[in-house]
Amino acid sequence: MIPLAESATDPSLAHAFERSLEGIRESVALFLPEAVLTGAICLLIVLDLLMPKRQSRFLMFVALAAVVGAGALIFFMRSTINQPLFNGLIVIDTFASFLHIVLLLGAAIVIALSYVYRDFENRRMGEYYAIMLASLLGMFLMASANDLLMFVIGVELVSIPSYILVVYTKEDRAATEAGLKYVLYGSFASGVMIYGLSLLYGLTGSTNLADVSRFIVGNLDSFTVAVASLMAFAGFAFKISAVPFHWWAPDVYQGAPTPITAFLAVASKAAGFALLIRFLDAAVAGAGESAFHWLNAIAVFAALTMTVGNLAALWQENMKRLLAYSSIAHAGYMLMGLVAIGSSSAAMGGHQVVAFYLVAYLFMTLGAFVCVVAVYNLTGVESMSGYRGLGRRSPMLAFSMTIFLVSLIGLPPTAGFAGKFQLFAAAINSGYLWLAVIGGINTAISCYYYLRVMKVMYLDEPAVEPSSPAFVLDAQGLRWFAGVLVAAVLLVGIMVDLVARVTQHLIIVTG
Amino acid sequence: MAAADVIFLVISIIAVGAAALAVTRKNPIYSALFMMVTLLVVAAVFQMLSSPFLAVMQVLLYAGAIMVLFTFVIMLLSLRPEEMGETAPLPQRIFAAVVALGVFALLAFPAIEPGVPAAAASLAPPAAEAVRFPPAAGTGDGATVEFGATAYFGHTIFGRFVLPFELVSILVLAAVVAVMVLAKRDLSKRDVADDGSDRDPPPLSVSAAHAGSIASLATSTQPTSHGPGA
Amino acid sequence: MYFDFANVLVFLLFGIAFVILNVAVLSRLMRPTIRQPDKDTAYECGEPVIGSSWVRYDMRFYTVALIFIVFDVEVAFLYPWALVFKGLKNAGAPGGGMFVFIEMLVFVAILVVGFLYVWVRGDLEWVKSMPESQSGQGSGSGGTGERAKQRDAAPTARS
Repeated sequence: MIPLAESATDPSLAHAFERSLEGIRESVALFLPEAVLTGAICLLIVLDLLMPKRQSRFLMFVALAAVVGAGALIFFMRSTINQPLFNGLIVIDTFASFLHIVLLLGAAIVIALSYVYRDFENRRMGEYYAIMLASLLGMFLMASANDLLMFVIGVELVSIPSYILVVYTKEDRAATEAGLKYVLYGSFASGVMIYGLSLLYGLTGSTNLADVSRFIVGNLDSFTVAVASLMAFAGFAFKISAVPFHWWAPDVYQGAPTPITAFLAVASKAAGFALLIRFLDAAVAGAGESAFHWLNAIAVFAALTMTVGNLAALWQENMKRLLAYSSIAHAGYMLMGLVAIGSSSAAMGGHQVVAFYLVAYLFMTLGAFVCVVAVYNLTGVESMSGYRGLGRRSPMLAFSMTIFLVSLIGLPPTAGFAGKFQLFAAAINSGYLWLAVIGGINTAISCYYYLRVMKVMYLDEPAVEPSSPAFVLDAQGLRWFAGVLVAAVLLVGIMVDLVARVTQHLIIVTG
Repeated sequence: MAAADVIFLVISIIAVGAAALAVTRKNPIYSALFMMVTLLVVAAVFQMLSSPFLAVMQVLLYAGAIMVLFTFVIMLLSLRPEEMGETAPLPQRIFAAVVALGVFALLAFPAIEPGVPAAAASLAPPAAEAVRFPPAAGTGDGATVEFGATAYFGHTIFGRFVLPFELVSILVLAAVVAVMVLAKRDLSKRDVADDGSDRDPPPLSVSAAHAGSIASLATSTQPTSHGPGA
Repeated sequence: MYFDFANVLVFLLFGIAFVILNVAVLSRLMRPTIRQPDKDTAYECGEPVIGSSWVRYDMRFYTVALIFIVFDVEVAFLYPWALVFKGLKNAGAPGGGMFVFIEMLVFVAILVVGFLYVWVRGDLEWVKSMPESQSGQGSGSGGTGERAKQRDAAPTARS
């Protein structure tokens, strides 16, 4: 008859089971940071039920404490560890730990930013922080995934909460539309990715990245492998908003609440790059010369992404939309660094320069969004008109914004310059001079729209009469917030050596 | 042709046919019902692959629960016939068919590309044997546990794949909270609405550099910038 | 193993044949055929049909369906767990039984948080979306029951 209910007395199975349990027991202790986040998610939900609505915003401190706690645990427990956990499902290596710290930094800043964001007043915030931490947990898994199954779960755990975060201000029609677009594009992209990954599983018979890597390296010329990998790439490219999977980004970035826009632009993108790097590292790094048409494909994607992002940004009048295109362009720059992933000639490999750039990108982009929030909180405007005369109304805010924009262009002495320099160096060292030239042209183009914001801030007439009381903006805490990020951007820019030395130790362990 | 092939042929014809009908029906309820047929037949495919647990879950979760959800959403929208949209013009439909066939060719190619499956067999990884699937068929006395059997699921989910299993609970928890956030009718909506009311939601354009909508966007947001000053 | 499905197939064929024979053949031969327009209308419990059945459903159906799916998924995982738990406890894997037990405990505990959330926030209460009658009624349903009892009691006292 149909064997629906066998008794499980099979000794060989029980033996294999016992061996997997051993691996799991050893891993649980090292999984503590993620466990802290999980506990915080449950705690936030329960506390949110107990608290009245007015006080629920103070749950920010619980979320922040969890993030700081997880960061401390990672710093003390994992910073020198390189080993697979849970029988190879995830791997904790320095690369993962570094990205975890980057993600936690981004999340902490976004959590604090949500606390002051004007549209979040009088709203239940416990659920918001819980959902955000769930998304953060997904990003953690993406950064340390070592198994196709973890790829899928990580991406879903990031995506589903972020769909909700985008529509958290659900009576705002723009947010609702943004959320709808995000869900449609996002579920389609993850569907395509899962199809590609399941093809790879079907070909190899294993979901372990090391096995998949061995198979791909042996079959780099196979059309099937190319199709499967391209489909998987579509999912990663959606997360990093690379052309041609970027269509969602401008609308979603514009419609979402600004802290969430920042979260998507920084944390989600960093996690997407982590996953892409893990996959490429598995597929290409061991293959040497024979993988070069894969690298060519990455180079083409990089060139397209930065060009489309920069050209479209030229026409933008909404600040969040402009930053959305800017973030697409930056995804292109980072993809440019990835062509160095297989080369041994460069001083720093592809994943190291991208990790470095992610740090710079985190500070400057979050800084720009802090300024957007400050202006929005005071004027209720996100379009360029709100920035007119900002230099006279709030000199400190305008100065901070200027620094962030200079860093986004990539001029010294900022973090953006240091990061971009390494990306270009990595591309040139790996023999992609043409790509570096395109990157240079794009940087020149990007000057136009970044400088235009500065011109609007300093040279344009303010929208408000200088005599009116609303002329002077007082953004209180946000000014200091932006100031700290300015300091971070400048520090990373000046202390390039230190950050570079840290990132040089990032190694990728698969298997 | 073996009996299994005949059964599979019948099943696949039903699955593909129902899927095609689900896509082409104008009334979403019909689409949902045809999709249910596809899902049910896929359950039969799982059964043919000797995985009764997956087959039952496919029926319970997909053909059952998820299709109920689909139906509720459709009933929630409650489309009248005139709201169901018009059939696309013929050139557009031809174009869509060509694109679909192209995608199909791309996806079907892996099934027929020579060489790759053989390579997979030769690459059967010997390393890390401890964490790989247990032997396909047990040799112990009494019942054997085959790949795909329910007990096999139990052993892999609660043995090797514990982590994804636990993470699914977080995912589900986040989904529950998310649904409630979205679906909840805020009875005290007033105090939220007057907060964001002065924000003029700019019209979003689907295409990226859409000059016209951006111009209207700039004009629509301009008045509000004067608001606090006045 | 396909032989096992011969049972299913025979059962299926028999069922289909039974229906076709009774409905389409036997009843057609035996019944009188009188056509009336009333007979073609939809049957709604004997009541005259009012309007279209394509009405807009309430959001609450959707919410409840979603919650149902969540716990359906949970049960889907419970079954294979129940299947292997005893075997692992008794044979082969010392300590495995306890570990598997804890695994499921964590899983269910996390889902219970979700259930608590839904419950305490009142999304399971069917009558709550009438804002006017909402005023005195908190999340507990006991109060409503008592008030309903009083309302029932009042007419009997008067009569």
